Amino acid sequence: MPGDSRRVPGPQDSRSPHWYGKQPPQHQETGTRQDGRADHDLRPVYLHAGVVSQATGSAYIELGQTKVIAAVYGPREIARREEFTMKGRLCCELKFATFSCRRRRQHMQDNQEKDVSLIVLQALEPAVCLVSGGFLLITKQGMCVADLVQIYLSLIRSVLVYGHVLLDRFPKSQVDVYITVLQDDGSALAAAITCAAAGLADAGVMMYDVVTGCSVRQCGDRQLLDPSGSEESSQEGEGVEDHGMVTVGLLPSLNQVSALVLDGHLPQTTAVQLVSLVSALVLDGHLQQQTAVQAVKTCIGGCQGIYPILKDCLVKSTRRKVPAVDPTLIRTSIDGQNGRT
Amino acid sequence: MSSTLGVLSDAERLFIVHGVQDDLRSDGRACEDYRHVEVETDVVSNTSGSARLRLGNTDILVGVKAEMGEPDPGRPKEGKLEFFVDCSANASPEFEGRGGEELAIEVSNALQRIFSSKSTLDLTALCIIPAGQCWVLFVDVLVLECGGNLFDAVSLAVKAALFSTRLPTVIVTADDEGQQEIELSDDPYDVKRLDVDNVPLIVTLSKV
Repeated sequence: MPGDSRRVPGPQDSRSPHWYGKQPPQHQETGTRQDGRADHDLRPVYLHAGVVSQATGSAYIELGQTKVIAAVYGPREIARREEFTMKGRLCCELKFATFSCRRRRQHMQDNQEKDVSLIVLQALEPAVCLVSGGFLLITKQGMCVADLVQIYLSLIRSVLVYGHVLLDRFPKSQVDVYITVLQDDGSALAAAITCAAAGLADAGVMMYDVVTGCSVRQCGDRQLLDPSGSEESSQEGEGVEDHGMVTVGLLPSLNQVSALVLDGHLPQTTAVQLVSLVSALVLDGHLQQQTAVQAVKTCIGGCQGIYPILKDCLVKSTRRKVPAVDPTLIRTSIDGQNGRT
Repeated sequence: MSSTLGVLSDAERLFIVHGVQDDLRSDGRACEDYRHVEVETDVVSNTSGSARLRLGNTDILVGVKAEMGEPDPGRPKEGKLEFFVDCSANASPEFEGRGGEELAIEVSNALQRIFSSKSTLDLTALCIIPAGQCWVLFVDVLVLECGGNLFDAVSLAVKAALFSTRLPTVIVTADDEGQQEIELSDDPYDVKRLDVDNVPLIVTLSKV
């Protein structure tokens, strides 16, 4: 792994002062959350497209205190060293700012950042072009390989395959998405997915739908939508049967899931249930009332909640770019021409 | 930045030169005018101090993270300041991978140079236990958008971020065996601020 050439390699010789202070109490009364939200409430969302003037398209999102900025460049020529391709390519690079988290992050892209970049890329690809069913499923714990293979096979059969249509419009070219997490206070992945999609739409890249992302944290039998940083890192419910994080990327108007990331221990999440869930989503709406299924459903609800905000933001940014034609102006110009003739 | 911007016709060149002679630039400013500057402090809550600065189209975000570490053996009574500049790929696709590294090193070296003078910032104020523990301030500069005059913008943003930096008050107690223990104040308002009166700003001029 390449090191950071700008710093002397060696063990970290400083530590955060938080270690010397008292830890704030993390336990909260049951039924409420630290910021007073109900379990299925989103934090206030701020979304603004067109923030980086040099980029083809860009967006900035705030989910509570989580702040993410994305810039989209392209379509532009693929660098010569790449092999020839008749279809376009989507590239995605995500970086956490060094000061974005409670612990100080390093300057080089670490494995977690590479992993998250890939998840965001694969969440966006179905919207821009569909590759082999266009579905991503990642499990980190509690699922065996055989289950995964089963799921993929079922998915390829069950999900509508669009083929590489939209990226076919840009042969030999690539679209780059650069995402920087400026502050991470929970649900950074979900924010990154929504922000990148808004950036792509702002750049005028043709898409079937704009992807929205949302996370749910499962604490025992509670499902916390759009978890904050303290809820994400809290140990609450670790000993109980179900705990984990579910992040869903949704194509809201097509009602299809483009990314599903499970992290943690959700024992009822069996392959069979997930497959039935996904086919149900694609075909129509009969879902089994199981924990994991319920969590994914909650996520989808959250995604649908973000969709109007995303639409509104894109309409606003388009209005700014293309100033509305004032009908009186048209008339005066026509009158002027008539007067001259 | 872009090579196409460097190509000017004779007429365009003359227009700019004559404008400068009449104390007028193509965006309407006089020769010694700055673009509009916007500064905002305390924008990232995970940091000890932060600032965001916009100078025309240049957009800078600076975060200061205070950590505890050991002082240099040669300077046991002083804290440490570390600068890092990240020209993110957001600012320009040329900065992807290692593309922005050269510019980043140039800017961070300039910062190191202006802070190397003892009168700039009182580093002894960052000492906790002489030759034992000190504050290490990591000043991380993130270039969100690069619209010219990076050096001036960065130095201004760094000063603003250091101004807003709050270091929690530390209580050092010695136990029976002479071992020194560090305890952090619980009160979030019980903080120490840095004296940034003497922190210099960079002013860049271009000769036409």
